[in-house]
Amino acid sequence: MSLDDNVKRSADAGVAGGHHGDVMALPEIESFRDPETKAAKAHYDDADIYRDEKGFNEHTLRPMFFTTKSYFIFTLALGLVMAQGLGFFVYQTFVGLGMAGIHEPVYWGAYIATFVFWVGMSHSGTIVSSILRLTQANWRRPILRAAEAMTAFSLMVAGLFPLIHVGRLWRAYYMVPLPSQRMLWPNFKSPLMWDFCAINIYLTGSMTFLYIGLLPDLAVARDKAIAMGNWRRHYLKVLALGWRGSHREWSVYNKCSLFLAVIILLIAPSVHTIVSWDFAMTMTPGWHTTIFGPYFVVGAIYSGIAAVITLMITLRILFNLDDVIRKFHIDALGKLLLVIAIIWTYFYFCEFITNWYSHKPEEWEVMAWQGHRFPYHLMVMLGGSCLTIFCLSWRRFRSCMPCMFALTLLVNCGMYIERYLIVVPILSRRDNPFMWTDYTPTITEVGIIVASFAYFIFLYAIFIKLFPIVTMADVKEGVIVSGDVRLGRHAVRVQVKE
Amino acid sequence: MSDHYTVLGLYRKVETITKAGDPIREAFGVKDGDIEVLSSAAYPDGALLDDKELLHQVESRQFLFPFLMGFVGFGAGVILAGGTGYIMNLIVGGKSPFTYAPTGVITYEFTLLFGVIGSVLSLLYYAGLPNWTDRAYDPEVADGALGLLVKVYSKEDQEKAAKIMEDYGAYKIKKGVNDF
Amino acid sequence: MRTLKESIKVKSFNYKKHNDYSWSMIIDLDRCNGCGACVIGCQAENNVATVGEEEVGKKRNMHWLRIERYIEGEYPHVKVRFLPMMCQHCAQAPCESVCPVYATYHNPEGLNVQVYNRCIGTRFCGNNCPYSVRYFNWFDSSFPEPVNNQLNPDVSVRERGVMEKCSLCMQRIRRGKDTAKDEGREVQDGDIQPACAQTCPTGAITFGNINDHESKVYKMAHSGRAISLFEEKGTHPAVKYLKGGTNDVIG
Repeated sequence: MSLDDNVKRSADAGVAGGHHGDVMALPEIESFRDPETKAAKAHYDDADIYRDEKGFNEHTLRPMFFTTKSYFIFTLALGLVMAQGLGFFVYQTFVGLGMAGIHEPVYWGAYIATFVFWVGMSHSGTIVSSILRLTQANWRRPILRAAEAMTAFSLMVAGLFPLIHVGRLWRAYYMVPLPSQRMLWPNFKSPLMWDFCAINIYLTGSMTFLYIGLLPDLAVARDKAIAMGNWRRHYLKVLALGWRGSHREWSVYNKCSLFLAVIILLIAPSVHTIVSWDFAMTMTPGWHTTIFGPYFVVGAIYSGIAAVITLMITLRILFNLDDVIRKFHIDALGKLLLVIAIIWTYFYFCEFITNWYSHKPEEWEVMAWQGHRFPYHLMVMLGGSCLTIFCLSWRRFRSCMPCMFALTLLVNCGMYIERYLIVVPILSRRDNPFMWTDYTPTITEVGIIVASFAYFIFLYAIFIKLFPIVTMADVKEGVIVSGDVRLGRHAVRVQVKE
Repeated sequence: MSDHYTVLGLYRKVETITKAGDPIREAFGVKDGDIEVLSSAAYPDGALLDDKELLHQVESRQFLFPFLMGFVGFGAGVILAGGTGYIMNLIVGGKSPFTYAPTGVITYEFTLLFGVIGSVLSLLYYAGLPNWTDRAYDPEVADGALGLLVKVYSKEDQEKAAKIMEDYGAYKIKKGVNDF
Repeated sequence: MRTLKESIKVKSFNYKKHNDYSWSMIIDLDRCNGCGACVIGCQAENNVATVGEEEVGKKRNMHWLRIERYIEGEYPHVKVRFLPMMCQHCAQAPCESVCPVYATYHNPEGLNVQVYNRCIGTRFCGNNCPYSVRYFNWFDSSFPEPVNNQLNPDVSVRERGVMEKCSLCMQRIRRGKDTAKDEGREVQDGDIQPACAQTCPTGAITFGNINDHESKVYKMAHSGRAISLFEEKGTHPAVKYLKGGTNDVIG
């Protein structure tokens, strides 16, 4: 039985009563359609879905319950890409890490660059989500879930790379502090150990954050699934924990979200700082700088927000969510991206000018060697700073979906190359000139890295089919706590803040 | 423990449900914890029902969970990073067995990890979750209806409460036993 | 009862006061003619894998000891200098503290020790070694007939995926100490000779106990010609070099 049938049946039975529109006691939306009110237009440029809560539920749950044929074809294609990566990985594990292009002294290559990239990607979701939660930014509401899910999944992908990259995968559990007869204990003085702890803790934290955010929406989805007799009811019943939406639950829940937002906000920057310390704690020229911590964190947020925008536009198009994820949201995220782009550019410049000015031979050698890859640098500069800052300064550009899609992809290409430039050329030009070499990734590395992207998209695709992708409860709350105030000929949207 | 009876009335409008709460409380002298509002979104405290006092009690204690767990995490971090390093005592890089900075890093992370766990525990403890039993609930709450749920201790009171709710504009009444 | 602070101090520093031996190696750069015998001696002694031409081309050779060749000047006034480079056994080794599983640590006799069985192959140590003297087993090493007959039974053959490096011929140090103990005396100069020192035709490599003030290495280390490589890194290597430059080997 489909959702629509069910709606009809309950309507016929007179249970639902029909008048759902008046539940939300909204002011007359038509007034916002007044062509004179520009700000209102930005909010309500599409059909208004928030008026009818039942309709809203069905609309936002549609991507979850209804699956098209092209979805299956798409996931199958992703599966094939993942399969080739898995093949390379298994082969590499059984034959030896020599299948990758790394060699003495470039011991870390594309794997670690990709690891840093994915950890970076994970920083947008929770940071953006918790900052926006704490500042009670009203426009955050529909995009939270998608951003938080991105965090969890990119971390899951990132966590694979250290495993892919270690020499003895079958001994990787030595890093877990398990008391045993072998008397093996991890070395907590090692930045890698901090990294191991931080990544795991961040994964735990962001998964929790995602799940706690999901809880009320799971209850909605559960009720729908039970009404429809859908197979999803089995796990939704369990995961929703018997949520009823009582006021006590909501009150405790909001408090808990607040705690989590604060804690996540403390964890997230520390995670990427620690990732940067994997490099900065060494005495390798080019890596050993104090700037790496904040530089990495800003870079992470930068690529993360760009990825959120890419993802939003994709979701908007694929699942017809243009009335939930509006142009206004992309515009607001674009402004955020602009600010971060400027900060990142500042760091990029700082790193360059200190090295250039002091011209210490060992550090300058690294810089000069990076300079040999001028096309890469051009890409970083264009994608990372100049072009982005220029384009994002225009409102017309920010609200142009294809432009934003292309630009955010460019930003992430630039950021990937930036990570590559941090890891590889610096190792190619170490202290000992006798060992200077170059490095190019092999087909094994490329295959596995491509598969990691497919894996991320795959996880996301699965998630969309299993859980509600729009933060429904938050959107509803937004409708409740906001109303409009008329100022002469203008209608101004206001929000109640606690 | 003696049986209790519940009445769940569903309302469509915020204005209606806010009016229904007080008469019921007055009629039976219902305590704070025995009356609840079910909604699909978070209303500000006290917007639907005057239960601020109870929630205030809960909220003033809720922060203790992450806070105390944070302390536990702090201890765990110090012991794990500093303590074991000192006991196992293997010299690396000319560094002392107990090092402050790495211990600090690990301790920071563990404090926050336990803070996360504490926050979740606070939610589960104070919200009474998980509870997978069949409780007074209606799927229409998810679709935007507002539910007024009250707990009484006799059958007659249950009938009375249902009556009051209907009088105050509930479009649907559900009665139950032991499912508050 | 010692205070915590005191006990930490005793445990962490001053090996040299609490242990009889502190091994050191002195390499006289003036005597090195770059023949490469030490490289082969080391390879034979320590079961170092031969990786083949192609892998060496990719810089995956495993030589624990390598001869670095530097060319000074423009043709035709060219001077070639050689620098035998192996693990420097730093007192404050950058590679040690970054290993997440304690696969490398500092032993009480001042050696930087690699524990193959603990290594999981993160290669962090290799990245933090300024001398680039740590080698990774990219593949399983193969010792086809009849090479397997010359494997040294005292040294384990390493699995793929672990780091390895010069151990200053740990097995020979052990044997030398045992013999000295059996004879009821301290280890003296000449008791222990790592494979490279034994092989070197010009006697450029000297090994000994730097705690013994009568030993050759002590005197050489205090001769005024002694330098450490990358001294500015503050790693305090146990391997020291005697400055060259007065003797033109090839030129």
